[in-house]
Amino acid sequence: MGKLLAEHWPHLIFVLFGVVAFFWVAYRPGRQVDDPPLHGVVAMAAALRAEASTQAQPLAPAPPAGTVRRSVARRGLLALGPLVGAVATGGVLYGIDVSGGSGHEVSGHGIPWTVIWVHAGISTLALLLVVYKMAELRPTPMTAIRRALARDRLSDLVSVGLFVTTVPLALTGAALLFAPAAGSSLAYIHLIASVWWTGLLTWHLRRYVGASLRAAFGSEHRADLALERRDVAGQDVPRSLGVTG
Amino acid sequence: MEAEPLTTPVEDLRTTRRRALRKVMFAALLEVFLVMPFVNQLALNPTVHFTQHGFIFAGGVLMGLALRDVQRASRR
Repeated sequence: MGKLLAEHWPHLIFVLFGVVAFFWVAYRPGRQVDDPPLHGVVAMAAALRAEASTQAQPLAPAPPAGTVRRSVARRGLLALGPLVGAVATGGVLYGIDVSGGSGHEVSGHGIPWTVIWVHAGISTLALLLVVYKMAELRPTPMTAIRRALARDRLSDLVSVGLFVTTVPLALTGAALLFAPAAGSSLAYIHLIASVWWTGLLTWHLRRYVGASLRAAFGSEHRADLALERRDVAGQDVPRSLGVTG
Repeated sequence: MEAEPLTTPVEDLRTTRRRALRKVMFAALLEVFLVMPFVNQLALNPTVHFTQHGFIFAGGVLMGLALRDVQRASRR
């Protein structure tokens, strides 16, 4: 058991995270209509959560899921190419690694430095473009994250999960540039985090790519007006938003 | 002809939660099983290695599906 934990802890942490997330979503006290009344610390936590939720949305109810402001959509689409490139070059790196190296050993572990640096460069570009996109979130990225947690909507939670998973991915990626070692714990964490990250990214894209394309290339102001809850005519708003006018 | 008994939303929610819990438990056990030392030993063979990773990925997907089911059910 000790050996299992010592060898595979990065993998098991993600499994544990998934199980904890499940219990939080399914059995959180105060969530269901048939739950018993809350007491003590749990009641206090529920009250604080409710208070944070009302503070996070002082003006208007949450916009429909999958709606995106035009400026955010454009920045998101800009990051899409490098993101796909990062996944693709990561896949190439993994392929070279599991096939036992390229035969042109340069980096000390069978993978040419060129491939590593191309992957690192594209990933860094993707990360910068994602930061650029997040900077456009209003009022601030942290408020957006807090709202996402308070709103308790799965697509928003997946976006937060994607953001959180990016942290170990970027840190281990940077560390591996200085100390490349295919069999190390760092490489293992990077690999596992990248798989979870790719899964979450796919979920995120499935939810938002269509909406982003509509918002970015639709007629002038339609999505923004709908999101700002302005008085707009029916033809100004995409049909998918379901706003009558 | 006898009418089908109707279930309440709370019963529906409980059923969905129970099913989702079974999925999560199965996925977690599958993931732990697949990283056990003897499976790792077998995974020196490339075919077994990729099969092992395919199942690990499937376990993650199953966990995501369970999360989605329970989230949808509790928001209804």
